[in-house]
Amino acid sequence: MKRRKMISTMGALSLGIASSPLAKSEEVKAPYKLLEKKTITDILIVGGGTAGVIAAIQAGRGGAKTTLVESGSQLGGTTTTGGVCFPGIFHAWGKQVIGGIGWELVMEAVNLNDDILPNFSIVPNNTTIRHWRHQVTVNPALYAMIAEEKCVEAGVDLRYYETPTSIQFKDGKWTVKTVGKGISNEIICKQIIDCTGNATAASIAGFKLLREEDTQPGSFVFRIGGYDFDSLDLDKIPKEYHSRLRQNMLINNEVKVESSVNNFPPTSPYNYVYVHGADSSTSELHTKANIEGRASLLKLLRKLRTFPGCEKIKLMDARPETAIRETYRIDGFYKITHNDYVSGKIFEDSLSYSFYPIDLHRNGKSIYQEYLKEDVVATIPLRALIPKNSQNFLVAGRCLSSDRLANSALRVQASCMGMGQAAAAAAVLAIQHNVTPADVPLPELKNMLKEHGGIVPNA
Amino acid sequence: MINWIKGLLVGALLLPFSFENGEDIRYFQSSTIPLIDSTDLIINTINDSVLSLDIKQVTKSDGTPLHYFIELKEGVCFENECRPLDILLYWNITGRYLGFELLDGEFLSKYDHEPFNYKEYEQLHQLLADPFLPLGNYTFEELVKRPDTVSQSLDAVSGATMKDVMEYIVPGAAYTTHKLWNIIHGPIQQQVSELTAQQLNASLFNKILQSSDQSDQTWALERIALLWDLDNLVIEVLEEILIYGEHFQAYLLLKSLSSKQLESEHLQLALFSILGKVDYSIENMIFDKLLEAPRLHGSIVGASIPILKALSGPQLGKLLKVFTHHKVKNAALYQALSEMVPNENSFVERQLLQYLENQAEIAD
Repeated sequence: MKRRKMISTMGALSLGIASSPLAKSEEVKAPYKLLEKKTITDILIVGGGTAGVIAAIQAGRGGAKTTLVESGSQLGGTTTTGGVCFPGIFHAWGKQVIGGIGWELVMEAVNLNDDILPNFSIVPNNTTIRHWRHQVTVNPALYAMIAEEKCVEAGVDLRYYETPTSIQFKDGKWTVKTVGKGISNEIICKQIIDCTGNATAASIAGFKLLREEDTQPGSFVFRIGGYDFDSLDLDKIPKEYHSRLRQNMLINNEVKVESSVNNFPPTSPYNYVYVHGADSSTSELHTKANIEGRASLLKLLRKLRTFPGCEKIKLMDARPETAIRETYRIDGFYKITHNDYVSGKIFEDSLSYSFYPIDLHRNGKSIYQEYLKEDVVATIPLRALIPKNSQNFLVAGRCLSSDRLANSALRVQASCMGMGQAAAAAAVLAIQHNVTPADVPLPELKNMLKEHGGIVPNA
Repeated sequence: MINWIKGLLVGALLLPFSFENGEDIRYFQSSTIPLIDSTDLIINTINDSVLSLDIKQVTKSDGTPLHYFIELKEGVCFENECRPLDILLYWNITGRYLGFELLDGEFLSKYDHEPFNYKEYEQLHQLLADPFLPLGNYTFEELVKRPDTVSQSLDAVSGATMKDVMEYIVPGAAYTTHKLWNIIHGPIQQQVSELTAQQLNASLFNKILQSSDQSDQTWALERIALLWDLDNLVIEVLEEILIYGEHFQAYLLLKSLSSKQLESEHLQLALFSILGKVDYSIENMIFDKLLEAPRLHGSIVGASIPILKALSGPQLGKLLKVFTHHKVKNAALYQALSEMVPNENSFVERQLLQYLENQAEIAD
């Protein structure tokens, strides 16, 4: 094509584009106006994390009109966004102790990823077989999608990017105001389940919260690659970095264990830096925790790359948020004590089990661990999920009423899943019986939980 | 030499070898299939390509594998003084460690060639039986800070042993412990396991499942799919495991059933009949396995109708997915489901309506 002809053709093409209908679709946006919405529902779940997802699904399956508000962009919380994608512990002493909806989600994620379960018949001895070998690796993205699918299937109205700003109880119903991107929502509901982990909704509603002066550190979870641990000369690398390098090499989700005979699958990619004082109870504090976690990881990466054999270390993955261990707890009708936990006390209103060592991360330098004695499994009573002086209000997750040591074990994911299901079942029945959750007939509540796969102590 | 016979099952169960001279040392665990008649044995030699060792497979005359062993000969040296070690190492048919033997006055010794005492043999036997020791994570060089360039065949030189793994070695015998443990839990284990798997039949499968050892059961359950046909006896045993067995074994069983095996009407009915008798999560797995079956037998549809109302909402949903997947068309089922609408539970009602509407569309 000659140059003149080419220019002429280009001109014609340009004219064609300019005059196409696509070019005429541009509009001037109307001035910003906050969209005001009103939602009427039976049960409002605040927080779509580890416990909230399960609570929402149980509420929906129980036949209640259910709304879930989540301040982030996906479900799963610590299990997904926080990157602690190996929930546990569901089994104790050769038996399953936490089942139900949490286990259902975990199993779907395991099956869809061709993962295998740890051999739960091999009981940890806490020396050569540590308790965490019973935690189940899940693909976090997959887990978040399955959780979302199950919520939708259960008819849950999912509202991402929303967070409550005021909560008031009037004439037997809650009025919850939330804000989200361009939206202000007024939600009228009969029951609230606070699954924020920080007892945020309980605090807004005016219930008393408790907190330790010094809380456990958060963890910013990541994965590194690009080096061969076995070929490193560890004598040339400061000892404090060995576990960082070794831990990551132990953890390889590409490796699939073929057999469960005397074997466990590898744990998920897991490496972390501590974030001291990490707190997610306000956006400002969570922002601070995230910035500190990322900065700490950058510093670590730069340091690791100075060691021989580590020059090409790469950051393979870092989670979007710092995962939080401890902030606020409610002051409930019953406070689960350390002694209750380690003795496996069963209450008349125990609705779910919890199995984990007492696990207190102290100052980010050491972990106080206390293992449960053989055949001991702790339980969670309904009263620990209900704030004192409340009506039609429950919590589920790490903010349940408990002392610090008990909470250091209760806070783990499987226990939170069990709590979520128990709280939602109580809320469903409270609506059906027109009572507050504390007055729900316990036999009926336990029966409902069992029908939905929950494993109820002594029921 | 004292004849120490220890373990859950004494070495008398390994009668092919006549150890009645009072000079032999034997430590054994319980094998899956105990030996009763020593005259009914055949020893086959299998060359091990990995370690260049001969693996001996001991079978009954009918071909049933009983156990495997190797004869390990190593030089054990101290201060340039060496003595040969001649030890027989045994594996169960499922690959787990079975025991060891020292024949004809042979004995194990520590760094100064001092013979093991009773407690040390006992400790070694227990250590070798533990598949979870961290000994496989360390080379011998890492395990022991070696003072000089002595040969690898030296036993437990007197240097410091890594503190973390100290409790997992017989004091003064780091080399022996590390060497034997790594052989026992090394490639031969996998090799003998595969040899047994090649000979697996329903009879052997049932025998292994009856083992009191959890790892034997796990081994068998992982290999159900190798069975060409699940006869009545096998199905009966599987039902018992699902109902009475540990949760993980039930999970493994269901996970391992092949699509071809699931074609069996007998198996489908057996699985369906235990609904209500097993854990909720196992019930969910049964629904999932029925999805994997090449086809769903009409008898399952018939058996499901009486229990529809007893199922929880989520499980009803799972069953409806099974019916949808297998394109079930059954008037009685349709009628029974229709009668459940309206339903007091909106979640249940939505699922019913969705299924019934899909059926109506297909019928159109």
